[in-house]
Amino acid sequence: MGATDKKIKAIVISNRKICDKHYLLEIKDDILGKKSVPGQFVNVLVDTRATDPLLRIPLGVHRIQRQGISLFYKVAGKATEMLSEKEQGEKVDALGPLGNGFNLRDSSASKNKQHILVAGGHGAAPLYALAEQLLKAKDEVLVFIGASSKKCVVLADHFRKLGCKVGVSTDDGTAGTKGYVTCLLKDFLSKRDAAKTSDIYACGPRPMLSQISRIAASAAIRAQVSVDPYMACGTGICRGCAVLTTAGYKLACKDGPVFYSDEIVWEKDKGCSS
Amino acid sequence: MRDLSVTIGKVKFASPIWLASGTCGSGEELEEYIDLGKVGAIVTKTVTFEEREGNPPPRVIETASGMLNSIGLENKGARWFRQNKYPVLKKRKTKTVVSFAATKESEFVECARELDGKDFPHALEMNLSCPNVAHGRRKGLLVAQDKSAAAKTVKAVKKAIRRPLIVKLSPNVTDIGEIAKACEDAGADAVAAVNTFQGLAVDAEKMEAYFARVVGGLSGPAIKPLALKAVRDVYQAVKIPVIGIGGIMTGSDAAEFLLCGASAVEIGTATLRDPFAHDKIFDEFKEYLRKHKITKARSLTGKLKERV
Repeated sequence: MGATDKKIKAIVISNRKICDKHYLLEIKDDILGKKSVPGQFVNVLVDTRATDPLLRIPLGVHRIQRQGISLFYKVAGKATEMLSEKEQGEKVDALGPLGNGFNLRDSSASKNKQHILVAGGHGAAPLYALAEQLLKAKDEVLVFIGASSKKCVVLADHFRKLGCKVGVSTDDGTAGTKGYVTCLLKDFLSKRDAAKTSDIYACGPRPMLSQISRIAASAAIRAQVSVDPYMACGTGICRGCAVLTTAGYKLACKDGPVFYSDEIVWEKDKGCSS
Repeated sequence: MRDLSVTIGKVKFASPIWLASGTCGSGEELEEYIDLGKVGAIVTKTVTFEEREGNPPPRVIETASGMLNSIGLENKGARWFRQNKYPVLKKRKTKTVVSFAATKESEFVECARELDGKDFPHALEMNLSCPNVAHGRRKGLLVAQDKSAAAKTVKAVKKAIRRPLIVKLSPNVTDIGEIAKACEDAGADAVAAVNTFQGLAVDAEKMEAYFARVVGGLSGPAIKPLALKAVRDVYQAVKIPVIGIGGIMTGSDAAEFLLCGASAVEIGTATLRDPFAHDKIFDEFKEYLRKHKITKARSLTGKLKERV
């Protein structure tokens, strides 16, 4: 056996429904708690005996604590449905932490620094661990959350409780501002305090990330985005989770999942209407 | 002491459990997970003469007990591979089989010549059958699907190299035994069966094909019964060693392939599910031998009892 401590049989502490189809799974494992950084993921095999589901599911680390991590996931298929049925005390086969997290080197605490986190739907999950980390440095953290409608606005209250300023937008206007979350960001940047420097971190659907990349570029900010292409192995072997960058194809699992937005070659996407 | 060794093209491999091309990189990606020293051979990710950037994403999708891929042989080219990877691979105790591919005969020869050496690699595996690249002359047809093209290519490559040649066959043919025999007659030292089955994933909501190239390659436990049948067909058609591939997840699966005629097996998709898979399958296979009081693994080859 190799020298890794990445294969982990973590123990379920709790696994509960938060809203709609979203669940919060807390797992206990010292190594995951100690080694994970915001933006990394674990690749979870929900059933070690069955061959369907065959592959692992990559889940972004939602919260990092000393004794383990939390995963916030949406039930969207057979594997996540089976995961939602895991009970306290059961084991979870988690490979990780994998990938590279957000780069926080430039984020030295300063009064004039603000961090802007932009979440599209379920993309709020990994940004929570990031917010926690940034708040430790007593930085200002703003979170913009976008969703299709009110019941899909996830984690807004959790971010507020943490001490973040939160802005919400929904496609149908049932919560917050009606429209895309990218419009909230654009609006904010146009009115922001010029004395402050801003960092942007985003996670969500690809069209949203593409739009954020464009908005960030026009504000002369290098955004960090977490991408989520279909992934198989999670370890860089199969080359399945390719992301087209200015330096050719890179892998979400090994080179990412966090990239600088200007590294990625984006397709033509729907723009912000405002 | 149980003897797990198997000889293919005069090269002795310490174990019949190998790692399949495209699912183990060139080994170093797995170093932190498994003991490479126990691996019979690492079959590298396929190398082509020129660099290939691979297919546009999405490249993979899970299906019932299987997965479809459309990676498209992403690699940095034969010269780069020889210059950058060979020094590391040569130092390793584990045997290395270098997989290579092309779309026409002259390219196969050129690529094989670039990769061949006096004592290294331990063997070359000719990927005649990647479903994710186009064959030169006729769209959608693989060299491995054309008996005379396969034979001609094998003959030309064999003439150009010194190392043993394994020919990896496509299951997407009417009679795989016939193609295997043509490769044997053309000088192949061994044949490997099978590469992925061509398959298609559809997004019903968008009413479109999931992959940009529409068709991908199906692997995993879903194809195991099909692969076992192909291995038996090939075993009955040729005298050279057969290497079995297709959905092996356990030590008992590996034994099944040996019984159907394989001399060695390659683990593929299992490693993508779990990077630790080889060590588990290897231990289970040894346990199988112990339970059945088999001292030589190779004595299992082709021992399938048939009640007809």
